Amino acid sequence: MMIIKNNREKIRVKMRKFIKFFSGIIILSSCSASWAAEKEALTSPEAPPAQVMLFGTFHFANPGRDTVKLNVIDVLTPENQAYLEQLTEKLASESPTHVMLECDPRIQDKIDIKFQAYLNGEHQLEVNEHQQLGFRIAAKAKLNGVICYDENQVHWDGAKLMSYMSTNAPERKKIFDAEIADFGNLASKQHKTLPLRQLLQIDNSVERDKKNMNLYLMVNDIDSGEGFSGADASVSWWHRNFRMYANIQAKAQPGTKVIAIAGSGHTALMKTLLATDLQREAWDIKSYL
Amino acid sequence: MRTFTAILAGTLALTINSKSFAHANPISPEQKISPAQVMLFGVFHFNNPGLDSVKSEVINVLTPENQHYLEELTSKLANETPTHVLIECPPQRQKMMDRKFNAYKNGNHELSLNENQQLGFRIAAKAELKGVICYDERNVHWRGAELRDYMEKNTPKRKKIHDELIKKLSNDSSQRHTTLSLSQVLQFHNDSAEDKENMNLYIMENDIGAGQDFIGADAAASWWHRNFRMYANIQAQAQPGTKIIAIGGSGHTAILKTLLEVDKSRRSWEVNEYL
Repeated sequence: MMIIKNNREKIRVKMRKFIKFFSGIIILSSCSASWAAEKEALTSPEAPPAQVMLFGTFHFANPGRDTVKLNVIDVLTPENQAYLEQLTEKLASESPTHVMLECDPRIQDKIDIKFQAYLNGEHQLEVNEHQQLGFRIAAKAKLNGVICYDENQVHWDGAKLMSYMSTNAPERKKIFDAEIADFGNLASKQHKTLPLRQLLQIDNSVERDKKNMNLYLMVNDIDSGEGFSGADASVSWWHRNFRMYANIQAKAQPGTKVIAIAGSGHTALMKTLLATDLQREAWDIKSYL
Repeated sequence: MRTFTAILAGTLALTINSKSFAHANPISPEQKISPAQVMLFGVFHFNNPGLDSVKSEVINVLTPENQHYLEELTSKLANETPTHVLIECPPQRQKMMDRKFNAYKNGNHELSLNENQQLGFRIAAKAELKGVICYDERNVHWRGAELRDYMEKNTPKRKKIHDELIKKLSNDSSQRHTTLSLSQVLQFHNDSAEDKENMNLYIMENDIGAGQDFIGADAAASWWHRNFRMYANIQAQAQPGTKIIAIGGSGHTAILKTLLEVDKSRRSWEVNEYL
């Protein structure tokens, strides 16, 4: 019994670490959502289709609690701060109408308060991409706020898959774990050796997007024809991102220019949705990085 | 990455499902190292019973000219020595399909009017495979009815846009089927612009109920869910060294292609040049 419990606990911890590492879900708990944060969108029927920029990032604040320690680059060095100032200036000068962040809509109020304090010179930007990128862009573009668009109900559900693999497909589990470890090592190495600009370019590259999605596809076939625990785990991740994309769509109405910032595990997938969304146009981040 | 793929390929070769290989040609040792090639062959339903939302006239594939085209096409594909032919039928019907296929090979079964037999049986028989494999998923379904009801009640304008688009697509489809050749119609169903149009049908309503019950996003995800399971069934067969032809309605292949594209253990094998 104890062994089973320990194994379950291990799986649980591993899963949590996996999710944390690749998607950086931010769990906070205050309530209420305010959507009054954007500039009024143009609503005339002649308005051009919405332009949506999906800006993939790593998580600027890494607490170093992951199995594979990813030592992220320090974005607070003068050089990196200068780069972030320049980058956010360029993006703001394109007059985006909405800046959307990977935060839970239930903490919208809290984010609003911080953003206002930042505008009033009473809040120093914290070490996270929401503030380092999002607050800066929104303030420079003279927006009234930023919008939380994360999804808080549907999460990656890999418990059945992980437990199935441990019991029935240990070889595949080994390959999967090795891929995760390699990914972590690669990212760590890149963070140690490459400048911030290049790291952000990598997080927005087609190659990295594919590598990210392959993590799900590589175990998608596990338990196929029976319980489909692999395919069901994959789709839970897609499901989460379908909902996040729905939140973006709700804002991305004709005439708007939306910048949505998120972990590259999310943007990789949401880019495939945007590519087939005939009502909206992709606004590529690459030329600004 | 190459090393990783090689390791992956080697391990998967050892875990090949024996059941699945009852229907496959033997694999030579040198093939074992190459990743599976997967052809996703999008089709319309040859015998359209009116099950799809987009209803239309369907070209008659039984004319001598179209039968000749199908013979030629399936010979070209069979010449490429596929190891598996997968068709869109539920695995529960595998035994029945096996019986029909064997009867066909023995000259005791005339091909029925559907793409599974007109294309799948022909390719498999010409490639001297022992059978075809059912890879459809019927336990997970698109939750479109709930979305439609919701739209009718809560977003009638969006419902109207939806209905008008479906009507337009049905007319366009009928137009194609009455004016184009079978080859051209099949090319259309394997065109990347058409794939986008297909997926857009789900994405365009993905935002319905956003921030509340997410009924649009949940419906879209349910359609992807079915396709993730179908893709899992393809992956189970598409082991290193295999060459898979999976035939499916283009509403499925559109999505399956996006999964194949990011599946680093498998290679895409394009159907377009054969059509």
